[in-house]
Amino acid sequence: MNEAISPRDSTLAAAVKDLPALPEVVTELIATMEQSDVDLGSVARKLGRDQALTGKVLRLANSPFFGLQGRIGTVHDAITVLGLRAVRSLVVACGVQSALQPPLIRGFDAHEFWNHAFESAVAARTLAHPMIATPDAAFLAGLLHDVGKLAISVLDPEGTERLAAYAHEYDCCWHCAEVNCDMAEHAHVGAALASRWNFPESLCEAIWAHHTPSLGCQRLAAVIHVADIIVYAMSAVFDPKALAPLVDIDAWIEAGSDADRVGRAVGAVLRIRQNGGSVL
Amino acid sequence: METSESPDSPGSKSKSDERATLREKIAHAFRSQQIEPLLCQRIVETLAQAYEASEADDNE
Repeated sequence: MNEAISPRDSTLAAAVKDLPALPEVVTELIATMEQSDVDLGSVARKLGRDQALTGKVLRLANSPFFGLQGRIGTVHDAITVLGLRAVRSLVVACGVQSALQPPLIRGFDAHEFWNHAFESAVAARTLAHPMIATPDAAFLAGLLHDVGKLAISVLDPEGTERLAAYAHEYDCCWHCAEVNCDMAEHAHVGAALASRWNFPESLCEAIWAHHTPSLGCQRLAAVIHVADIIVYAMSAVFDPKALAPLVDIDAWIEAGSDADRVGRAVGAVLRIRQNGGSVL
Repeated sequence: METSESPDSPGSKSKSDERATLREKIAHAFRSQQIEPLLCQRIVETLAQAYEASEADDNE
């Protein structure tokens, strides 16, 4: 993955080392991602040590999305009712949100960013065939696929503002604007950051290749690519400015040609919108 | 006496108009694509059908 990094990406990809580390409990939870035998009590105790994170996770767990409003009082309840994997995704999202807080940037809205991330995560979870990825791995990859945009917005707010202006003026997608302006690609910067944060290799690769899944030889990247397209296409029903990223045909055939799965992913995204939007 | 509008009466949108509008809106999201138009049309159709099916489910 990193061997293919281009010169325009390398400066920012190297700069990710200056970004804050994730809270300790998030790092510890990430380490459990590829373990089959996890001590839930120990996870709950570790999470309980970080009060800010615990509060946020409980707020999310009690949001309308999970349909359990007010019924989850402790981290242990959350893990028991929602499952470790769902709680882990929430904890990782909360950790990334607190680690990467962009300044105010014209044309870049952090709230919209997280809305898109959450909708993509839900679409990816629905879209992923069990042979390609577990629903939870797809959810997390969807949630973090654009984390490079957030990293760049923190490292280079002026560059982010220029990109937003270019995308608006030339009516092109964010990725096209990066390529046309010869600026670092968020997919590559995001993968470098995910690697620095010790995310599993499969997740780093999916982030890296989500705009070029054919190059990534990674089927999870194809799922994220199609989930991204679905979310932007659904936005276009209400917002004429919405623009889907360039479609990779092989990825669409791989992950998007199953009309039934696409149908369920579209339905899942619409339900989030009808229920008041993202929980993040 | 109140009269109900027929689907094709002036001022009301027929079902086929609504379908066409939905497809136009979704297709607009793909305006910068560099893929074969027929393929793009198929993707739009898949998404539009999924959208309609989801709305129909919600109305049931």
